[in-house]
Amino acid sequence: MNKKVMAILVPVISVLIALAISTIVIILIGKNPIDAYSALIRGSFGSKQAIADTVIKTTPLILTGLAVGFGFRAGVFNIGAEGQMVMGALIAATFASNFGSLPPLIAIPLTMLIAMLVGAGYAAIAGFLKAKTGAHEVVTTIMLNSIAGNFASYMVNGPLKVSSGTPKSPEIADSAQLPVLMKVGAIEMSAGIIIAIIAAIIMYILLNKSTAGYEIKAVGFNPYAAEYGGISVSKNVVLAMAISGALAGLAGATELMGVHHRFLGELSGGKGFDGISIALIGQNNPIGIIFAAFLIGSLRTGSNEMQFIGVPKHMVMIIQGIVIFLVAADRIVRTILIRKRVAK
Amino acid sequence: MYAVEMVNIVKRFPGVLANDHVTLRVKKGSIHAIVGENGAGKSTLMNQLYGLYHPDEGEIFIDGKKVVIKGPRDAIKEGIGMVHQHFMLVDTLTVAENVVLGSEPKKGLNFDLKRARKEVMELSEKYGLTVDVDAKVEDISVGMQQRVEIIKTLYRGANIIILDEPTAVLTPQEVEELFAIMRKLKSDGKTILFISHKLHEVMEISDRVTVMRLGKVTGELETSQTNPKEIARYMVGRDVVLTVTKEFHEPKDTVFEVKNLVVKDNRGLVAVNDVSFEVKRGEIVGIAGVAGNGQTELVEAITGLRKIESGHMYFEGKDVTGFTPRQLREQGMAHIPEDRLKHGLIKEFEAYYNVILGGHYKTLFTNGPFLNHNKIFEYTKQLMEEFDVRPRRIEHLGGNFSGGNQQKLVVGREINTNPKFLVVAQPTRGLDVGAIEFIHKQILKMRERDVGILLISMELEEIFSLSDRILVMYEGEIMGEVRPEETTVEEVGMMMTGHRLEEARRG
Amino acid sequence: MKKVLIVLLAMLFVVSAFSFKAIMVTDTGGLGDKSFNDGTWAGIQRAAKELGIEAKVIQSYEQADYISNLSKAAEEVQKEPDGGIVYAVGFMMTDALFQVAQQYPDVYFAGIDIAPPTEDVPPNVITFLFKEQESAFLVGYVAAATTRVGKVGFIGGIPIPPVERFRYGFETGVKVYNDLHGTNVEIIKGYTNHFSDPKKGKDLALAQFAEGVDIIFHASGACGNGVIEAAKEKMVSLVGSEDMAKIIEYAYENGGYFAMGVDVDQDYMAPGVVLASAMKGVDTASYYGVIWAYNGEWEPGIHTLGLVEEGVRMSPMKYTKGLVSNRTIAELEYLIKLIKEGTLVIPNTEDTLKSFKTPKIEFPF
Ligand SMILES: Nc1ncnc2c1ncn2[C@@H]1O[C@H](COP(=O)(O)OP(=O)(O)OP(=O)(O)O)[C@@H](O)[C@H]1O
Ligand SMILES: [Mg+2]
Repeated sequence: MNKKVMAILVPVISVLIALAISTIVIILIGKNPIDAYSALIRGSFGSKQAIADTVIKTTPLILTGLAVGFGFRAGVFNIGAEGQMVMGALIAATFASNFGSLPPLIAIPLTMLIAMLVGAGYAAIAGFLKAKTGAHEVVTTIMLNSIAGNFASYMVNGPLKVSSGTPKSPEIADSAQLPVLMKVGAIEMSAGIIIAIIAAIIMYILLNKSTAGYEIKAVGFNPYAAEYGGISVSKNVVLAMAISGALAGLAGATELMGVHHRFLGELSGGKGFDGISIALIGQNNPIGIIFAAFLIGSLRTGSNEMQFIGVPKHMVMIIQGIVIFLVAADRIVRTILIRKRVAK
Repeated sequence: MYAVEMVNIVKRFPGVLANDHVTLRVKKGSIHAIVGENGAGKSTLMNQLYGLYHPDEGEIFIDGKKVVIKGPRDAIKEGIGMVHQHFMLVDTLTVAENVVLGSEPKKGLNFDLKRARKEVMELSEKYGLTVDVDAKVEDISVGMQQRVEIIKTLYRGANIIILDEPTAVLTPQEVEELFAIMRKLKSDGKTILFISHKLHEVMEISDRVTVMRLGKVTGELETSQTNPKEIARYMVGRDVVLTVTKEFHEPKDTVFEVKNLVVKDNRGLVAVNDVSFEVKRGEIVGIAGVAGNGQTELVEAITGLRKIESGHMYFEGKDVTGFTPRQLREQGMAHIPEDRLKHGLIKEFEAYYNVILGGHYKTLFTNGPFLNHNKIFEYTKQLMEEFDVRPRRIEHLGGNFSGGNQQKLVVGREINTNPKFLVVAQPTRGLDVGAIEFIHKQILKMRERDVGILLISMELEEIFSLSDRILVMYEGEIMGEVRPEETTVEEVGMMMTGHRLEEARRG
Repeated sequence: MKKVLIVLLAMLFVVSAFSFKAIMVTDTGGLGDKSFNDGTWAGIQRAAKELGIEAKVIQSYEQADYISNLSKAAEEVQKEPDGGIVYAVGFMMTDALFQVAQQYPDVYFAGIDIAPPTEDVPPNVITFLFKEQESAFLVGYVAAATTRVGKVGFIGGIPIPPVERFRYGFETGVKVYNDLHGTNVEIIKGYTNHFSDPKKGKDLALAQFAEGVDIIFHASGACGNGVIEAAKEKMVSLVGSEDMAKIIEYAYENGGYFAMGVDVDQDYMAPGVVLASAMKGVDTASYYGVIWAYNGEWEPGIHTLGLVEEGVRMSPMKYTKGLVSNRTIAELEYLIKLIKEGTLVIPNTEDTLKSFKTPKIEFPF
């Protein structure tokens, strides 16, 4: 069967299987699945607020998905998107609270740039350790995550802390905040989604059209052949980690500049890890990642509505878990497809 | 009684009809050879028997019973084992671990390595397949890896053993050992399917031969009642004469030189010991030797893939010691690697991305920081035409070409870089006669264009027919230098087993 | 376990004809934290049952959900002819609560563990705070009296004010015990910087046990499940049995490893291993919030609940009472009396903790 068709079919079928299984679970807990799914859809698309919520949730997921997916393409497993996102947002927040005198045209790109550079630098540490000492990036990025988490927590409960209430840093300057595209009640949907989509397009071009992308893919597929072809494996490992980290940092930036407008203790909220699932579902393809992020984003927003009719929020985690499991183990799905053909 | 019957098998790939109503019948307890040009569909057919691919049409019977083989697991259950053209071992595991992988003996919940080692050692002893069971696969030679693969199928109790071009990577000595094993297996009642491009091997070992051409079966012959010429005719559709004539060509000045080179292998042992030689423009220097005597490490060092412990390399008189592969390429070096799947190709890349590897950043293929796909496509089409790579699809993935066509792709790519110095390792491994002839001609053409060529080959015939000078390597050292017209195969053979030229001459 | 609980809770929704609704929005800890989310929910359910109204819960995945979930809840409540009340549970929701409450002036909001960031509280908001230090004082005193190694541990979640108040109380309890009994019990402190990751709690607890403490008091939300698990594992491996009677018997003879629970009575989570819990009456608070809103007895602003208001207390030590001497229990009763009278004031800030001096206390026995 055609590779491209497979690449689309596997996640789609996985989603369908996941929905089927969750339907059974919903029936088992005594709820009507039709009610549940209509609540799910209402909750994610049924109103302006719902749509805004879905978009807000999708934005950082696209970016962390791109971050992890980019790493995968280069053969590195960046589990550290979480930490890179936190560090990027934290440092950017510290600077951006003083950007009051700058016009938005400078303050916005500058804040994003800081977050991306910090994310890139933080990820590059793991890339560098892998290239120089062979330390596996999974181990080092996990450690870097925990350092970032504790450092951020210390900062918002200590040096950066403002007023009482939720631990947080000072608000960033108005000029560093992303423009609001839509406002519903207390919910503001910013231009972050546009940034995320642009990032996906850039990643697509980088990977598929540029010489640098060619080298990164070559290293990811076959480092021996890459080296033979005069492509420096260690340079590209560090580079891929840095780009991956920059995307994670950008995820931090959109959360900072478009949603919270300040650094909060739990700003990342596991989105760095969600990036792994999303990259898997999106098959590391930038366009696929947009769809995967949108899927998870709308499931999560919709799940809040489902809770109203008594379906616990964990239902969405179940769906997400099954989808990831099936996509990751896409052999299973493939086997099912092949078996059918053999049988006929 | 047939052990294997494959009836009217059809297998299509995008743009290729790989098997076109192929019928194959193999008698129980026989050695059955399958021959055919590169890309004829031999591996594809065998892969279907082993469950790696699924026939689009046709049926398979094992011992007369119809079976549907959904994957290797089913195949193993039916008693089928396969040693692939390209090995499928896990580099970072030991030999013993690789053999038992997937069918590990359990001790409680833990992997019982002790027992595994013992069983593997017993098997290797029983069939004379000597291997170091504790060595990591990445540290052992290709020849050794093949033994591991064979032990692996035996370990799983295979009755039908598929050997896809097993001899391509073996020394003549090893081939004889393999044949001894095959005969032993046959007398044990096992059935063997054997693919080879070397017709004399087919004549020696097989009972019957099936010949394939362009996806179809063109002949079914009793080995004892045929001859290589007839087989070749079925293969190619015409008579083939393998004759490459080497014209006299005066070598020019030195293009490449190594002095006192010392290189270590993956285990940190000295693999190349104080080697010095030079290659002139328009000259082919052949390096002969039994596999595993430092040739691989020598090539890797010369091409910048392996660290040099001491000694120097000069390119056109310039010290290039410690240069990266890219720097060496920029000096004008090209390299046809020994292991095309490890170094030569990126299986996941399309043909067009594979043919630019190494030169991908040059203005020929780029447009500022971007790749110029139009130019790349055009270039690829030409290259595939020129080197007769089949199928002629520029978007065919590297890993989906037949073994021989992968080699042509690599050879074409390297030759097309217009090098001043070409390192060629095992260039015709796994090629059919026609392709061998073609590649030999290409190498000689390079010589005429005054390219300096270093040829590493385990095929003595190849070394003799192409080289202007022959260096013989044994345990990392050069035993001596001879000219093909002034020496004999026996003399070189002596040197290959550790005698210096003087000793060999003395007899 | 968690899932079963949720399924059960989901089935417990009370549907009624009355058109007043109570909706609770959890923090990221969520239901099943066996701590203040569960506690708050229990109180709301109790009130809902008594009043015959509908109660619902929305759980949040992440901080970014707070605003949207609170808004959702408010929208939902607005649909009811008689309105309703929205609960924001947990200090981390402070900002979100006040932001959303402003947008929906006709909806009642109640915050648990939330201190208004500014002086003027909108008229539709009440918040509940607790004198955590008072219940923590009691468990600190018990810990100091019970330790056999003279070293006890404290594990906090994120060092936010309610967590810190638990620590102040705990430290004061140990200090008062030391001063009254001439002992020198030490305290080791640590934070998980998290509220919802039991693994972190467990790691930190094991580290503290390795440093030589034998009792750890946690104020770390769901991380505490890990703390309790760590104590239980250590204890079970000492005793060689999971049997409660054997554990208690062993503990009585030789001591062992103990955890101390927080927010709700967590003693049952590992009977015999959880020595006592510093309870915080989130259920009482949430119960009254619903009743007040329903009856229109709304008094906006902060409500601080301590021992006197029965907003905090120590668990009755159902399983472990035998491990503590009668004298200690009598002393605790007397100390509770002093606190209620206002004679003994437990510090609730870092500064008052530093300047705290044990007053002259003479037990009447
Ligand atoms: N997975 C695949 N996808 C697409 N085409 C394939 C695939 N595998 C094989 N082919 C094509 O099928 C044809 C037959 O290939 P096969 O590997 O069977 O040849 P072969 O006879 O083994 O040749 P060789 O002697 O070179 O190994 C070739 O044209 C090859 O490119
Ligand atoms: Mg083949």
